[in-house]
Amino acid sequence: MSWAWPERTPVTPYKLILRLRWLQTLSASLLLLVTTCSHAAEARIAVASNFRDTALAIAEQLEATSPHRYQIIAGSTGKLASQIINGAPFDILMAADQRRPRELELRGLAVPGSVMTYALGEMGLWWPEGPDALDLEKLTKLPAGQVCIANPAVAPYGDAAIAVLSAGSMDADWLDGLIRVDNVNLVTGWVATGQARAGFVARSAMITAKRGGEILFGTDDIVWLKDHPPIAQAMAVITRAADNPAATFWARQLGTGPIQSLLERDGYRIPQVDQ
Amino acid sequence: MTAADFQAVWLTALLAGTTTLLLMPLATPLAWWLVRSSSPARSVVEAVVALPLVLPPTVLGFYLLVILNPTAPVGAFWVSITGQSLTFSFSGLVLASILYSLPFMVQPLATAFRSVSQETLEAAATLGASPRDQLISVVLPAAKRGFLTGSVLTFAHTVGEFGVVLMMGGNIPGETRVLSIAIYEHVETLNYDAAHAMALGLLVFSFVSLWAVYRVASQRVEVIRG
Repeated sequence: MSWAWPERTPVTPYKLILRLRWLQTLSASLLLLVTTCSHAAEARIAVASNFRDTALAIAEQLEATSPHRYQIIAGSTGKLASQIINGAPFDILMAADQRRPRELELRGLAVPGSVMTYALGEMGLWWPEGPDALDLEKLTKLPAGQVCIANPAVAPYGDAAIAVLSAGSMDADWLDGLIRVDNVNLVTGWVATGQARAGFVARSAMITAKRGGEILFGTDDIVWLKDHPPIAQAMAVITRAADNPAATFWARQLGTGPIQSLLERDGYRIPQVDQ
Repeated sequence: MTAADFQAVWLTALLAGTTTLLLMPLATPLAWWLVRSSSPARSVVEAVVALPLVLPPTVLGFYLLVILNPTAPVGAFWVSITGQSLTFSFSGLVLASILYSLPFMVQPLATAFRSVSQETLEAAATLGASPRDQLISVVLPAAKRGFLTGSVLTFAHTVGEFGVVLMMGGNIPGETRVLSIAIYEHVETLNYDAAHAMALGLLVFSFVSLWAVYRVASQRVEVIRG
């Protein structure tokens, strides 16, 4: 039985082009992959509780338009700042005040000059089944143990609530008796579940909870404290992230139109100039 | 439950498994020493081992945070070797869990070792068994149930860890966001459905673990009676 090498199919110019195209596509894809990988980075963004949902939406948007990936970790501003001081591996702090980012900068834990105010938050008094024409003075009708605030020691919205109440006619004993919870999102939860009759809430937390179908509230049930200064929320890039392209990208994109629309959608105002 | 929640389940299992595996070889000689030693230091060591039973987890978490943070000597040393901080990391949680669950492994083992009578050991010695042989060939096989009970309790206790993690672990997905922290976060964000699912899962798991421990214990009684 005789056996011979099979005759090789001649390579026609057309087939050669096809092969080359295939090669070109492969090399182009590889090049793209290598370029993307070399620029893609990850950043851990520590955010104040009331900013959690907005930060998740920003992360989704930035991940869609860049190769970077973001992890959002929420907590009260004070707790997150103290974790950073104790070595927590965060790249950016999106605080609910200006004090903590500045403090981190002073301690040399934040990149100098990276502290900037990114949003102005608003606080309100939510009192379902409260009296008509709701105002702060009527709060004294309630025992302090039925009014909830975020813990002023760690949460800027709680700090602001105490400032507002101290300016009114509430006495010190009444103030001491207020229910204090870990962060301002929990205030919404406590009032929503009836564990507190009234609470000082963040507009952003109310808007995102309503959008998520977690709470219902009527406009008469809340008085927004427009006479009081807004809560200036500042951010800082943590020193470890000075060369992290994902962190730099996040900080740079905050001032752009699409991100600012997200902030406004969630009840924040945009600071006109850095404060 | 979301992908992040399943990640929390996996991380919790990994933490509890690692802690149990590392604690077993550490607790065995310690439990053996506690049973056999007549040193005056024994009661002090016993008390230290039992401390996590009564100490608030926040106290343990606080001291670990103070000792292990990157600016403290121990924490800085670790950073210089590994490049990573012990606080707010998985490695730090493993170390904390070993301390936190120490009595849950040592005490069942000590009880099991104690059940091996002096006469049995002397009989083994007359047959030419060295102290090491006695431990490996007589005591360890007899203490099988102690190892089983200690492992189940250590695993379950680590799964239920919250205060220590809150103090020195934080809430970092894939690193320190264990089940109990994930539940806390769901409650904070009003996501009660997810919190219910995870809490129920933990409740069932804890019950099954304890039931298994009591079942093993009752079988032992039957064997002795039989």
